[in-house]
Amino acid sequence: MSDKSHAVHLDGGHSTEDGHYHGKAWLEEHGHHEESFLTKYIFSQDHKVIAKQFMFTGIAWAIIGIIMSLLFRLQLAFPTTPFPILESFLGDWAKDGVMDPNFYLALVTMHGTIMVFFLLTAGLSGTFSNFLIPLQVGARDMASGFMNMLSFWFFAASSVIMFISIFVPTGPAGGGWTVYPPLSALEQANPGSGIGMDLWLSSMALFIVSSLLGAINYITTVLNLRTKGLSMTRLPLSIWAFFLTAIIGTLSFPVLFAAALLLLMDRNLGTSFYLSDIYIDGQVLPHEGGSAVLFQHLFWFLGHPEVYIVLLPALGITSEIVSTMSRKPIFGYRAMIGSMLAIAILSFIVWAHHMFVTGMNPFLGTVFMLLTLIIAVPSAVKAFNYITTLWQGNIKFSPAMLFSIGLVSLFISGGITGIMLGNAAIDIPLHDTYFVVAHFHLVMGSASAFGFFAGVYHWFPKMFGKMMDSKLGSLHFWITFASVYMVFFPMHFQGLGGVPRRYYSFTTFDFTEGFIDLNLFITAAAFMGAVGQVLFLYNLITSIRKGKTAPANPWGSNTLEWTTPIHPGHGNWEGDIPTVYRWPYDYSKPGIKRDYLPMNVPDDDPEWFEGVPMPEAIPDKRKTEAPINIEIQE
Amino acid sequence: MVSENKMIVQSMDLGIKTKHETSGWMLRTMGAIFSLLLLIGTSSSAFAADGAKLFKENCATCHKIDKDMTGPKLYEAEKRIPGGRDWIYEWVRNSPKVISSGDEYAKTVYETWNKTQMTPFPSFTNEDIDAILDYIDVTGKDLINGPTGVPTGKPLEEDPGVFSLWNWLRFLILLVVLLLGNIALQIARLRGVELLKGVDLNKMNARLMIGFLVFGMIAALWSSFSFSDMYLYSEGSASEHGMEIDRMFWITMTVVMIVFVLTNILLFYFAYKYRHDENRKARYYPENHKLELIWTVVPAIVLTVLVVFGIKAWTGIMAEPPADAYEVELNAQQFAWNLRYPGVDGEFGDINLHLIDGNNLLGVNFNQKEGQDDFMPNELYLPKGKPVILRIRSRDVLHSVHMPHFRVKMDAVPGMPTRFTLTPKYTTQEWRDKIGNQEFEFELACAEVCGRSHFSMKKIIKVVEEEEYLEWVKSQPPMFDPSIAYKGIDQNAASHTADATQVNESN
Repeated sequence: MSDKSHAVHLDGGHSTEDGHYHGKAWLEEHGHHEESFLTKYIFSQDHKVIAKQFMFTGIAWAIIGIIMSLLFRLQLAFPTTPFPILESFLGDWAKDGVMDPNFYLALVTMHGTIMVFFLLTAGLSGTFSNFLIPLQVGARDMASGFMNMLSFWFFAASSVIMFISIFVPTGPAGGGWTVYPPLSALEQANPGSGIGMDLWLSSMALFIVSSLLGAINYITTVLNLRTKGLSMTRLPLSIWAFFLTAIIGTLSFPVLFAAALLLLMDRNLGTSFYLSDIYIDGQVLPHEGGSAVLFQHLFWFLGHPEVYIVLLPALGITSEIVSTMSRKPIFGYRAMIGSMLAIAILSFIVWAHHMFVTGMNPFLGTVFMLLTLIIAVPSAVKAFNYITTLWQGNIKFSPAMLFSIGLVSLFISGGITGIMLGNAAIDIPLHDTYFVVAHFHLVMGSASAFGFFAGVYHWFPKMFGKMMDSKLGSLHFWITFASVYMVFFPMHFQGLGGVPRRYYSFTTFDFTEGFIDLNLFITAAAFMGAVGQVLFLYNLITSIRKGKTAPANPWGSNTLEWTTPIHPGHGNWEGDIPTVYRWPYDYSKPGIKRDYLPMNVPDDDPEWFEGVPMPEAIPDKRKTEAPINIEIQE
Repeated sequence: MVSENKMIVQSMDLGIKTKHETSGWMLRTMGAIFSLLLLIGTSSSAFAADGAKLFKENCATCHKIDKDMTGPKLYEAEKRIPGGRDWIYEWVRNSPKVISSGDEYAKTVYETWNKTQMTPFPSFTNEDIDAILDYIDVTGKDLINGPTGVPTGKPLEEDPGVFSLWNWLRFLILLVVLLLGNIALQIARLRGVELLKGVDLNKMNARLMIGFLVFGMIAALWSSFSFSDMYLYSEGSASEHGMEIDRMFWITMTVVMIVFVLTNILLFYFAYKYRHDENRKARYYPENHKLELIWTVVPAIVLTVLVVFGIKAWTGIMAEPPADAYEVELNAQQFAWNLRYPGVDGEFGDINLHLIDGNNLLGVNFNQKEGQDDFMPNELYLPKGKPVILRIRSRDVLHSVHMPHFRVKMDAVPGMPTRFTLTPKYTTQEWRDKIGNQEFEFELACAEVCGRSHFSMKKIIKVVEEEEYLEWVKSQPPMFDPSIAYKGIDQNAASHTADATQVNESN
């Protein structure tokens, strides 16, 4: 590519070289031949199909993750009561209806792994980065459709292995989702650290490959395939969020890959990266010189950015929806980008706040405390900007909007306790207690899940060409929202009472015993929340099958995806790719005939602009200026 | 998914069918569990206090009376064991020794229970163990055959807090169940009947925003206050450094609560106030730099202040301990805390895992004079008002020393000894008087997941006056017994003191 065309390209223009990619040739190459069921739905390279594959796999995992959480909530609520029926489902894991403590740990571990990685990373980024990036930047598809397909199939392979691990005789991994060695390294220490752990690590390795293949594609597509006129400072915030998420993932996931690889070697090849001075099962192990804390540094070097990998896409989705449904521009567009950039950078240098009391050098504690509390500033800016966007808006409560508002509330309520946990001194008594469980379930677990729901409700019409039922959607929101607060808010109390995480039962200690009653309440709320999700599944499935046909632009949105046909084919636009003339947030702009102004409407279009004469009266300047459009005119 | 959930919900019922005459299966279930809990609670108080107490504090972490847990059920254990009560005495005091002595039954037990060693209780006398066995015997009969008509020592009213909470919970659960039932019904009907017909959805959602805000705020604040007597922070800290943590905790908590209340009010109120209206146009208001500057700078200043105080407190807590501090070693293993005191000389013997055997449970180097007077008690004794260094080790997986009342937490890392320094502020008795509960004991728990019995790694902490502490140290029998042949210890050298190098050579 010549320098000149490169420069043009950065301005959002088409060079002749990639004009080929966007244009007629692309469609002829990809769109016009008959596709078999296999290439269209299974080994598809269409980003929209791949997005749906991620979505349905993610939902399937969510169902498993939720059922697991119900099982361990049952144990916590009734620590002394046998449920004989459990034995018929779980067999040896619940002899006489009493859950085995190892199985409890396995459930907690798998619940965490599934929700963090399989639902909120693959399910969220995989679905919406894939679906929205090409549609919102005006591209025919991802930069590499083939890599994108590989990304899904690596995820599928990873899913299969993780699923199998649930059924091995010694049980799945059971050392917590953070799989700290030596517990995760030694089979003697925990049956879940047998074959289940090898499968966990293998599955995660494949998952990381999938995530990297996806992320590289997202970054390339955003940087190189934006349509004419779409500069980086005109990008929808959703795309900024997906873009930064992909960068974070690309830089941090490889570190987890290394950590997992070393752990596999410690487990199977007799190396001592993480192991030293261990006496177990009546003998001293030969491992010498390793460091258990090293694993934690490596793990959290991914683990903390992972929090933002999970959260940023949800915030990006929310930005789009809050602005669209308030019929107002997002407040402080540049500040939003700036705070996301700040979060993305800071997310790499705060990891050791998970490790204040691991015995690492206390000086590190002070540094990480400082950096951690800095990250609260951009987060606060985002929250305030959302609230201000609502101010003097004209709000339509679509289910997506409800979930977005819910997300902001959860983001605030869960985020502020981070100020306490990020303070190393206050963290001493709170570390590894239910206070932490409450904090991250609100701020990253539930908030990101709300982002997922919001995204599905909002872009369902584009995905399936049908509408979801808003009434059921509202009901789903209120039940979910209420139960999330009912489940996680009381957990703060348990944390303030000093109750540690991952306790099979609160019966042993006097300081935990008093909270058993509260557990009953939390469990009841969790069941309520789970039942609420049935509404979502029902709504999703029936709407796909016989929902009302969607209009072209159901929410009156400015972004490019709504300029495609109701059922966009592979290639997205039948004719030209639209050209962009402005940022995506011109809602309720004075001087415009409607309360929105799509990005692709030319600045002198009399259909939209007040006081612009009819087109016959002026010569079409654009035609003479436009040098490039070689796209087909059908 | 529907059927899955239903099954689980039903299973609550299946477990405990009783003749209670309340209506609704959930209430019945609640009632049954409640009476079961009461039953367990009441029957225990009827027995020799010693046995019950010893059992609860030492055995219950791994054993249940009527069921297998981490270890086997203890009811009628004597009948199962060929060696009878004498064997039990030996086993409880030092099970590794019994195993290494080649006892067949001991080996079988060890193999059956995942080769998990039972924590030794060397300080238990025969009488202690008898008392525990008596307690197990009577309580076990109750658990298995139902109550024997022993007069209940604990009337209902004795625990009004829990009882009233239970009433609330029953009510809430009933509401939840009704709600769940209703939802299921609605879903079933949905095919034919349009849900929420004729409702202005936008208006309804806007009103619910305000409803949720008001109800949610009241519920959040009310519950936060009504549970406050269970927060550690309401009682205050039992250690010196904890006072500073608590002070910062409350300051930060206040800031956090203000932000929580204000921002949530704004969020939901704006959502309600600016609900859609055909006749109104939203205000085109894309930015306001002054406003944005304010809410960048104000949080930044508040956080800077918090960080400065946080760093100061943290640095103080983690500072080098004073030279005159006492020392205790917390040596963690799955699933017990082994306590080791340096003895009268104030010096620990080195630890070498290769020296571990049935007689030397921690692998202390008895060739060193420092190690010979080390002792291993069952309870963590701490002197009031004196700095104590907790020397923390693990010999298998990660554990974490969690002493909630003292605001102490520090991981136990195999291969990397860690430490935490604290100064207890109250004796156990003073604390009991302060909080008005004479049964209270300080507890030590594990806070880093370490395997199946992570939830029950318990030790009792006793804080006493310094004089009493010194007396107690003097009265403890040392681990080292010159008449025993220890693995890797040169008997002659040991009696004269030698250095650690000899041990290494012998390996």
